[in-house]
Amino acid sequence: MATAINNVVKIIYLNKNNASFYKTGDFIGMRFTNESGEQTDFGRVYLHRLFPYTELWTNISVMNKDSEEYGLIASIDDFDGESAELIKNELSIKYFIPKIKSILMLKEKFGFSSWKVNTDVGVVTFTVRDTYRSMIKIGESRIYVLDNDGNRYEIEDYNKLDKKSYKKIELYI
Amino acid sequence: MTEYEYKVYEKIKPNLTDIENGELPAAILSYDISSKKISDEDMFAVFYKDRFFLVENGKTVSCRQIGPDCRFEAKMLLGCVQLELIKCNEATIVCRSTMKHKTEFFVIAGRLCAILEGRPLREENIQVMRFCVKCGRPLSKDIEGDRCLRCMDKRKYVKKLWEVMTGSKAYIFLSMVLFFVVTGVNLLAPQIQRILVDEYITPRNRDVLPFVFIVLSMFGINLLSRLIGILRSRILIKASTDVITRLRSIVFEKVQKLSVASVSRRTAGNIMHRVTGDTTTIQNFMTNEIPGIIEQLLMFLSVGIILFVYDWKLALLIILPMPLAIAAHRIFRNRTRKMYRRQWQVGDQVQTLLHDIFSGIRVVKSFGMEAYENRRFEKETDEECRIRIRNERFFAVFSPIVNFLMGMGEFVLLYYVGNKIISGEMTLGEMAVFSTYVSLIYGPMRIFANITRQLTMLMVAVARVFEIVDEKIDVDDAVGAIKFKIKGNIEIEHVTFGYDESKEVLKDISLSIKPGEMIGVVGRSGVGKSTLINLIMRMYDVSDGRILIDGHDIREISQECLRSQIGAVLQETFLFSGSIYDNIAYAKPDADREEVIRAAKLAGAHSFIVKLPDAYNTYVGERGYTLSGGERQRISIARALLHDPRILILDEATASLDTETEKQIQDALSNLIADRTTIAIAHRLSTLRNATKIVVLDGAGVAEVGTHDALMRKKGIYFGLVMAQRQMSKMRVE
Repeated sequence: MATAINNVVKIIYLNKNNASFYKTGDFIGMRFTNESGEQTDFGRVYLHRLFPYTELWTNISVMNKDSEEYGLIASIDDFDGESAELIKNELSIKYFIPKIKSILMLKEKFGFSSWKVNTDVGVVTFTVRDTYRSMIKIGESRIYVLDNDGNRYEIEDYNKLDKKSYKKIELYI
Repeated sequence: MTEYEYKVYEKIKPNLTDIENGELPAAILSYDISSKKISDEDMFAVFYKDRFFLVENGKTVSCRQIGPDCRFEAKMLLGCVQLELIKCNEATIVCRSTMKHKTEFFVIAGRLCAILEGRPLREENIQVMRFCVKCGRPLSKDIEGDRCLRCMDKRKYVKKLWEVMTGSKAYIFLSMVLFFVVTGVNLLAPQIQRILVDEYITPRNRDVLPFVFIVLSMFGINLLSRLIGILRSRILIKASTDVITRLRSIVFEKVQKLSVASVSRRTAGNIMHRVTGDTTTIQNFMTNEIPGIIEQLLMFLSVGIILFVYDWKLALLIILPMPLAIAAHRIFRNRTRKMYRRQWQVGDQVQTLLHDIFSGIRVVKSFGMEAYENRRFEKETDEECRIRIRNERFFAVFSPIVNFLMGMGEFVLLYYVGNKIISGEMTLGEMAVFSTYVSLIYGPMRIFANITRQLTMLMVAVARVFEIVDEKIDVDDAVGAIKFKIKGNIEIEHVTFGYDESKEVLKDISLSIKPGEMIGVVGRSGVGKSTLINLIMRMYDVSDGRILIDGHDIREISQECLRSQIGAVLQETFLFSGSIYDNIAYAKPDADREEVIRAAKLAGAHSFIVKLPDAYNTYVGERGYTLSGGERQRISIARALLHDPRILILDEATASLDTETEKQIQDALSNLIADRTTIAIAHRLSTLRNATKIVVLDGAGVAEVGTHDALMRKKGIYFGLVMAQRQMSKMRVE
């Protein structure tokens, strides 16, 4: 069955041999060379992580404005030089997920919790509704916190938090 | 500019350079991300007709020119939103913000585009944004009041609960009086005990009659206390049941009033839990916890006073170990809270898993995943078991220690009282009184140690219930909403709509439908066909433009009046638990049997219903007889036909039927639709052959309008769709 699907559905994998990225305005564009050697300039392209929680630098879809897929980047390592840098930068613009370094305050009252955290992009305060369900545990020790406005924050490894910060979230882990 | 933008402008005006005197900006946008860092102070983008400035920390950091060849676009990214300036097909970032400013970004991008293109501003471009009066954060649409969730005064929920209790205040007051009576009676018992010991037992007084009288009075007091207790419980149960019934009705009525959008934000389980689970928590607290708390509080105060009046030194000795016990509780409170929370979470996970497996049991079995699910379930229950054992072990050690600490006062009492009795300062009877009072005062102390946990549980439940009750109704009847008999003339004027601000599903749609016309709506999946129908039924309000029925804006028509004259057969057929007859008659409860049967015949449902053993009495819905998709759809059509609506909406109404049955129903419908307005969505285009007009939706707008023949001649999108379907049918035949 799997072989049958493989024969029917073709995935175009993009790599440094068939694609290159360039800067257009503040964003990125892509030039693609197909198997017969014809080159097409797609103009501005949009990157989407297929597994944003678990895979940051692999399985990245490259699409146009209307969400039509041009191809997949299996791994960012398939590109080097300017293209790799541009891809990384574009992804860092699209996925704005501050990393929590320490938790300065966490108070829960009547089902809502107020947070004040120190992140890699500054001190942030936010409110979380239904705290337990808004903390998504990925793997052994990574946590995503979803706030009430729709922002996301990441705790890369809760075991590495300082003792005070850890104690504040221990209840929800 | 909105009032808020004007206020911001007044604040930052001194920092703006290069502006002519008196020139007002077209828009001011707050943002909080600069150089990939979040700033705790808001920054502003100030837009004029020909240029814009970025003001960060009180300084103008950038100024760029704009012209008619420019366009602004707001983009929702992950965890942030950004405004882009597109000039000569090249996009640059204007500013970025966390999601708290997302609505402003889309409103202002729309406004700026309208200004640059010279279009008049739409309602959505000047939408008044609301901000929390305390912290200034933008308020989301569903929040009523002027504070965000963070700053909201949660005590208001207690006030609201008290308001709901208004109708039962007399009962509550009466039960309070009885609390005082019971406490008084209970305090009397030790005093009689003292008389018994001091005047009869110790002096070996053989005066039988008073002795019997004393014993009888002790019996009487005990009996009285129990009887009053029973009466009080009955009154309190009556009061709390009344309050909860009222509260449930309030929540239920509110859920019915909320728009589809508001209800869709939550799962059915979540709403059910609030209507039943959370209100039950409140009821349990009122019937089980409150009486205990009040009784113990009264007991604590009165016994405390009595003890101090009797002998303040002794009273102090008794209360002395109390801080130790309270301290032990406080130290371990966080830990015990976490332990119970964890136990509750694991229990919740097991419940969710069970629910998932049982709801999807067909899938589990069809993929042969029973063993896998067994392992998954075992893993979760093992974890729950492990946590439960750990918690119980902890409490097995912790509780006796705390109780021992609490009881230390009794040893002190023994020593102190023993000394007094030996020295003759105190009688045995007085000692008995003291012992009883001491045991009475420890009860409340133990209960108060646990009260915080119960209060937190109550407040969470109260907050969750009132969160729904307080939710703003976004599709509400206008003041003085009109009611009238609909003729069926529908005018859709420049309607724009999106389920959220970042994506417009329908853009600038205009359409005119005359009474008695049958309109077919076609287009590819996700193009907004069902959305258009939802807007006509006013399940949502349009973002811009208006929909008129017989010349009245639907926002001015009473929703009950509007929907009672629209009959809809939707893609998802839903049957309530009940008989087939009840399900058809749902649309017109006063219909007689003949009408119901006629409607079923017209919908082609009668023939299969009579073949069922219980015919029209067949129980359907959850746990009922399983009907096929086509059968459900026919019942649903019968329901709509019985309703005899002025406007009939068919959203893929015949999709699950075979071609022959579909033809039968089509014929029946063509008789019916003669004098009513019909709007039909269909993927099978042959269904729409008889439509007065076919509307083709594409890319958020109306692409083609005309009769089947006219559109076929035009050879546009519709022609393409018909040809593709013919090809498919041919392939199937081959």
